[in-house]
Amino acid sequence: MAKADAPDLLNHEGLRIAERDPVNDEYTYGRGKDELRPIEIEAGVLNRADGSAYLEWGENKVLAATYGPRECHPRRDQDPAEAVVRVTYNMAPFSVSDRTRPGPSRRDREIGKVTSEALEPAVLTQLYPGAAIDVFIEIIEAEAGTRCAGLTAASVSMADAGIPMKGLVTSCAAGKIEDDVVLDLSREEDFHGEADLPIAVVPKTGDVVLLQMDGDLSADEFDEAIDKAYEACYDIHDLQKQALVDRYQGSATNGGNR
Amino acid sequence: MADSEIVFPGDELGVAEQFMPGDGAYEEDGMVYAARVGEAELDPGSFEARVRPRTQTPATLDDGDIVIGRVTSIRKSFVSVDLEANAAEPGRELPEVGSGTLHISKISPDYLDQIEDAFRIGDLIRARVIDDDPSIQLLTKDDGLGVLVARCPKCRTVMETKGDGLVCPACEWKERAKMAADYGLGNLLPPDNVDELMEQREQAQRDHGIDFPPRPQYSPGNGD
Amino acid sequence: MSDDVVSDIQRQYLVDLADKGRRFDDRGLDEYRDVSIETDVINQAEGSAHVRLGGTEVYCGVKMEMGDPYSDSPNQGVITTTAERNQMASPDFEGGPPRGPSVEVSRVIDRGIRESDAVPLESLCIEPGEKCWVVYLDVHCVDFDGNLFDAGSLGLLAALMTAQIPNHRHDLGEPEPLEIRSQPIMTTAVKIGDEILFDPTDLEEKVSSPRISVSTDEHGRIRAAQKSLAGGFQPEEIQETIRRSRRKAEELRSNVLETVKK
Repeated sequence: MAKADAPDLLNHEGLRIAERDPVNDEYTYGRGKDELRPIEIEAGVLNRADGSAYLEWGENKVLAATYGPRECHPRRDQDPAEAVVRVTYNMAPFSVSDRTRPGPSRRDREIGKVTSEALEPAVLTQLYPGAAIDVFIEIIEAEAGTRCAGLTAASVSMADAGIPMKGLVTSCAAGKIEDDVVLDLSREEDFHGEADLPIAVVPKTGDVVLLQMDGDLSADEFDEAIDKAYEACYDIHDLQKQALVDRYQGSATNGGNR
Repeated sequence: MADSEIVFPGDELGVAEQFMPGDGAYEEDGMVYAARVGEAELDPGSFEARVRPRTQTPATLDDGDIVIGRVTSIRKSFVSVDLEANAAEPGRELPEVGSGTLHISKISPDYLDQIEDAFRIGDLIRARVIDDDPSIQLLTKDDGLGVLVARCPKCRTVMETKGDGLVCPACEWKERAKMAADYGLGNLLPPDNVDELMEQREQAQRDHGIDFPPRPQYSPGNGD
Repeated sequence: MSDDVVSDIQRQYLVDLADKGRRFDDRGLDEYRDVSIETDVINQAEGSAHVRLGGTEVYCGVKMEMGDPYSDSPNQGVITTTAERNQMASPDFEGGPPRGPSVEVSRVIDRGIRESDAVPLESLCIEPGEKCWVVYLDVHCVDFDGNLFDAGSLGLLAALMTAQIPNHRHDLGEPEPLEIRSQPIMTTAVKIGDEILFDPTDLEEKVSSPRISVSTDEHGRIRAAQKSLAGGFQPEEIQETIRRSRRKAEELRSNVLETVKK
C-alpha cells in the first residue's frame, strides 16, 4: 500500500513525523506513538449561531455551529416524541490540496450521518419533541482526522448553545503505520499507513458512539487501536471542558431564561 | 457572588434519594447529573439540584414573558396569534412554533364591542404570556402591549399613528387599534418611557386627533 | 424569530433614523464597521485570507491547478470565483444547490477582479494552447451580518496578493508570487428611506431597497457595478454613491495593502 515516494513514517528512534516543510518536502521527527498532535479549542466564536466552537488539531482547522432546538423543516424529518439532531459536514473548497467542488459529496453525507448518530445519544432529546437541533461542521483546512476534529468541535458548540446533554462527546482515531499501532494519524501517516480507526466516545458513560475503520488490522491490533483512541478521548475531553471554562469562567450566570 | 466551580454535562450533582433533578439537571440510575455548563445549585428547601447556566440556553416561553406574535385569525371572542419569539431573546428561535390565544377580555383596558376594533389579521403584536399550561394564553391590556406594526388593509402600506388610531400615509384609510405605546418605534421589548409616550399620544389626540369610527369590516368572513 | 418579523418591526425605525443621518449602531452613513484581514491562514491554499467585517466573517482561498486553456484564448489562463452562503453563517441561508443570492455574490465579486485585470490572464499561460493555470477563488462565509460582497472582495484581493504559484508541484521551478496588476476594491451601499448607507448590516440589507455595489481600481476608475435587491435609485443618487464609493475604496485599499505588506 505504501507509495514509492513515501517518506519514512518512523525515524531510527521510532519517532513519528512532527512537521513537514511543504516546499522542500523535508520532515522533522519527534512525535511519540501515543502522542496526539497539538489541539486547541475555543468556544463561542461566532456571532450568529446559537453556539459555536473553533478547533485546531494538527493542521486541521474546523468550525462548528449549533442552531436550535428550532422548528423542524422539512416536516418529514420531524419526530413527534423527541428532537432530532441533524449534522451537516462540509469542506471548504480550499481545505485540501486538490480543490473540492462546493456542495456535499457522498463522503460528506456519510460523515454527517454517523456524526449525528454519535451526538444524538448524549442529548436530552425528549425535552424538545418535534424540534430540530442543527449542527454545521465546516472544515476550513484539512490534514487528517477531520471527522474526529469536527465531531469534537460540534459537541463543544452544542454545550455552548446550552443544549441539555448527558455529557460531551469526544472523538479520536488510532491507526497503523510501519506495522505499529499509533495514535492520531497525520496526513502522511493516513496516506501511507496501513489502517485508520476513528471512534467517538461519551466519556461520561464510556459508550463508543462512532466507529469506522479501513485498512488492515489483526484482531490484536484492532484491540490495541481501540484502547489507544479510547484513552486519548478522555484527554481530549479535558480540553473540551477547558475551552468552555475559558469562555465562561468569571462571566455571570445567565440566570436561565428570566 | 463568588465565582464557584463550573460543572459540565454529565458531572454528578447528588444522589436521587436526596435531590430531584431541577432546571439544567437530569436523573439516571439513582444519580442526578448536570445537563449544561454552569454553576451547581443544591437547594435543601425544595430538594432540587439545578444548574444555573453560564451559556445561552434554548428559548422558552413561560408565564410573564413578553412575546412577539402575528395575528392569524380573529373569532368572535378570541384571537389566535402565531408566536414568533420571546422578545427578551429574539436571536434565538423557539423550539416549537406554536400559537397563543388572546381572549377579548384580555385585549384592552377599555370595553371592546368587537375584536376588529383592536386587531386585524396580519398585525404584529407584543403580548404577555399569562398562562403557559396547557396552552399559551396572552394579554395585551397594558400600555406597553398591543400592535407594533399594522399594514393598511386596502394598500398594504405600513400605517402610522395619529392620536388614538392608525392612518395609512398612502391612501388615508383610518381605523382604531389597540396599539402598543411605542407603535412604530422598532422596539421588541416595551421601552422605559411607556407613560410618557401615552401622554404624548393623548396630547396628540386632543390637539389634532380624529374621531376614529369603529373599525369598518374591510374583509368579509371575519366573524365566527 | 423569522427575519421578516424583525425587519417589519424595525423598518420604519431605521428609515426614521436614516432621515436624521443616523444608524442603529451609531455609525455614520459612510462609515464601515471594523475590518480585520489576516493572510496566509490556510497552508493547503496557494493564497488565503480571513476577513472580519463587523459581524461578517469569511475565509477566502486561492487554489491553482494546471489545466487546459480555452480554445478561443490559447494564451490565457482561467479564473473562476465561487462564494458560498453556508448554513452555519445564518439561519436564513439554505442548504442545497446555490440559488440566486449565492450565484450573484460569486459573479459580482468575480467581475470586480476580472474586469480590473487584477490577475492578467496572459500571466497564467504556461504553454500556449496546451497548459495554463486554472485559478479557483473561493469565498467561504462562516458568520453573516450583511455585506458579503465587500468582505469577500477584500479577502480575495488579500489572498491573491499573497498567493504563490505552486511551480514546485509541477516541476516548473520555485514558487513565485502571482502577478497582480491592479487592486480592485468593492464598496456596497443600500438605500434606506431617502438616504444612502455604506457597508450595510444584515438588518439594513433586509429593510433596504435597493443595494448597489461598485468596484473601483487604484486609479479611481470604475471596473464593475451591480444594482441588486428590489427598488430603484434616481440617477443622481447613483452618481453621488459612486463618488462616495471611490473615496471609501481608497481607505479600504490602504487597509489591505498594510495587511499584505506584513
